[in-house]
Amino acid sequence: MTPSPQRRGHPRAAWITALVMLAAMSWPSSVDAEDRILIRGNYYRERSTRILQPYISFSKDLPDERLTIGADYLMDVISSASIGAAALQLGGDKVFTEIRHEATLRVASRLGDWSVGSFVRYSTETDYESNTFGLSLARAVRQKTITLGANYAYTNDRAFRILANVPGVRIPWKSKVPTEGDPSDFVDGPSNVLQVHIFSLGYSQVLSRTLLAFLQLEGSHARGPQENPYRRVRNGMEEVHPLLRRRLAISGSARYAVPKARIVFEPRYRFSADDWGIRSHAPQLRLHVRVLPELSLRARYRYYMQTGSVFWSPTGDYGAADRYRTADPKMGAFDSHTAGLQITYRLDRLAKTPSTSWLRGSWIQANYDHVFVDPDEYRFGNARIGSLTLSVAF
Amino acid sequence: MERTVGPLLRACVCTTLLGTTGCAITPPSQRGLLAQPEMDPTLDIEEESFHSHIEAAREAGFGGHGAQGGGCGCG
Repeated sequence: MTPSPQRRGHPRAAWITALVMLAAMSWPSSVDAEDRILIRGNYYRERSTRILQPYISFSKDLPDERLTIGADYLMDVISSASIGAAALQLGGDKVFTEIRHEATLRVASRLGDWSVGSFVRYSTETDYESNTFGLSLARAVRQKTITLGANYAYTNDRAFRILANVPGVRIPWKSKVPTEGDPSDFVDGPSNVLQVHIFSLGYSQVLSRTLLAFLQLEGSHARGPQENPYRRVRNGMEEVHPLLRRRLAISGSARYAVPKARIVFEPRYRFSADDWGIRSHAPQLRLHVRVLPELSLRARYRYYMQTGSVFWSPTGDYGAADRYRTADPKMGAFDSHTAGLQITYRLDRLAKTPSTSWLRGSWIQANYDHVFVDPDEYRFGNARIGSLTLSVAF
Repeated sequence: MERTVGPLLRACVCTTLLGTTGCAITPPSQRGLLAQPEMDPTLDIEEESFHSHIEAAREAGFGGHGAQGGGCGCG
């Protein structure tokens, strides 16, 4: 087996993990341990796609917050109706199901005012493989009323195209680039590898006994194939997106408690821009209500709007000499409205007998969100998003 | 992109500087309310991760859920 670039990253992750463990074990303890298993079932549905996603997360302190290890596993069961020209590529217009597996290993440490963390993640499906490595560093200052943080993640993805809907029969997908002499003549791009660097700087502050504020600056640099290998534009030509995409996002939020009403307001806002010409705004308001000591409700509303990319064609028509072509609805201008409800029930009240004492610190949660769009403006249509979660402390 | 992001970036830096230098410190004895689950953003990590994935598949915007990477070819 040929060593891949991501495999070369693993010894570095092991070194960092070993250093974190060594530093953590020699640091004095100040906190108690809390270990946790979280089981979650996610559901997503839109016009032609359904996803069922079982997810399990495990985290354990060794012996306390000086060293925390964790592991996550999720499986996406994706059912899609192949449409249009994609049906020809996939062997017919029918519903097909594919499965994606994703596993993550995490290690983190809190040493006094400093927190460090690292993770590796592997994801695989029939026509896509992804490896990610991430680092985080945070420091609390001013008597722990302010936290400054920095995160970095590197992703190395490999894209493939399945031929005739036969499992295992696939070719590397390298995107297309025009030849130097003839802009209407496209050839394969240099590689099927998509490399993404993601960084973020975070800032949070306790502004008063009832108010928290958060600020975040994020950026990403992606180079490699970034279009859908199966999707075709209106006249049957393949999609071609630029190989390079740089994005920047600024987001802020606050949590403001009204103790007498047992309410917490959580406004959020995010702005993002990229060098494909897309600007997006996403204001959101969340309202948390403590109905009973063990029962909380949360309602949310999110508005999203974006401009279209510079190579988006509202009619879907492209000429042979167009350098970039897309049939991806999210490359166009559109807006959406999301309304959601969350119910959380803490199980401490049930943990009063010896046989149920294991429920102390545990909770269950149900979420439902509905995304509304104008179907004439956005082909994916409305979406329904649901989840059920059980979190058990041990 | 620089023309749009520049002013927002400067506002971000100014807010951070003001926060780190200009506000009174809330003592630990007055932070009891901040320990409530409704005030704790770390309890939303799994939900944020799921929503981040969905938004990446449906929207061309980016960020707002923390720096994470990896995933699928949802493009």
